[in-house]
Amino acid sequence: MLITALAAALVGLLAAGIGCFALVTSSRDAPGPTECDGDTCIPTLRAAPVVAALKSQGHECRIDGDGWVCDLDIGDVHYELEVGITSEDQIYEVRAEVTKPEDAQLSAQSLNYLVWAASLPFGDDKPTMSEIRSWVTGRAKDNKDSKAKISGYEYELDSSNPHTITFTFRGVRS
Amino acid sequence: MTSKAVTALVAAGALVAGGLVGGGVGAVAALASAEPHGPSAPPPVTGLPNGNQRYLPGVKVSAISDGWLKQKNQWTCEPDDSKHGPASGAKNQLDCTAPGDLSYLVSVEIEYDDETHVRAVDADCAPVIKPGNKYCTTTFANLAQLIVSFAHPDLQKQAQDWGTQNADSDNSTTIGGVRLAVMLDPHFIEATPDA
Repeated sequence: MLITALAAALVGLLAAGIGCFALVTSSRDAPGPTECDGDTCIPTLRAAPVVAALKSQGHECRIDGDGWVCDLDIGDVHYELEVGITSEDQIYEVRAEVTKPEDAQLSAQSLNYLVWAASLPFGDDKPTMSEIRSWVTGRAKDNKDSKAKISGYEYELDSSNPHTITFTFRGVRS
Repeated sequence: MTSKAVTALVAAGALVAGGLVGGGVGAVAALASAEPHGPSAPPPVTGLPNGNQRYLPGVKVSAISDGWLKQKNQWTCEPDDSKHGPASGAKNQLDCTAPGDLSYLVSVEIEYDDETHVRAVDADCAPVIKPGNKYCTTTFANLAQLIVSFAHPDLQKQAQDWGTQNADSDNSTTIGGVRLAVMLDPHFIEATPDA
């Protein structure tokens, strides 16, 4: 009887241990935000490569307050990205804005700009990037202020003003 | 209760106890081993707005100031010396004005970084010139036609027709990568790159 009980306990121990390890690991495998300097940040992406990517496209970037501001003017359209950072260069907030003439449609590249900013926490996660593109595309032209929580980040896209489309995300404590 | 039943009961109890202990240990181990997960690089920059798009496609300063305004229409041009600088953020601005009685009443401004990098061109008609003035209409239409013709000669007539038809309106369009916008008050046409 003792051997049977020990065998059963061992089976239960192993099965539950492996099961719980796999379950918890998979639940934490989503690329959600992490704690940083009392805030909530993208875990591994730093601001430097984001700024470098925009500079490579001719955007002008500068430190302003506690973050970076990058902007570019093409004709009557103004693009501006603000990146809130910690002392470790971690990103806790991103705000992208497209200012355009009221009578002009939001162009394909303006939409790409908003989608790119919104995809920053998920650059290695194609399914979530696809979800983000779909969400941004739908909200950028519906003339509303929309919010959503996606993989631990709070997203907001305000297209209620036809002159200025504003997108913001920041990490949310779980 | 038979000994088999007791054995089964004990085994079941041991299985549950083992499961609870194993589950707890597994969950703690998983939490302890979890690393922050996410990208270390931003998504590809393909399709983002690019600084090279700040310029009107193919447009040259001298073709506007010399070729069109000074040589064909006897306008005069001089560098802008105002303190505020070009609205587009360009490095330079050339201010051109019509000859004779229309001097400083009908004007063209060219905002540019250098000869081949032009950010914006606009033509203004002063408020004393009422809508419907033929000189203004022709200037607006010719500006639209010329700017579009540099990169899209096939679309220049379309641009000229649009300028003629919309010279006295609040309207805009995009032709050949050029955004043309007309306002009535103040009265001007502006050509900028489409973004």
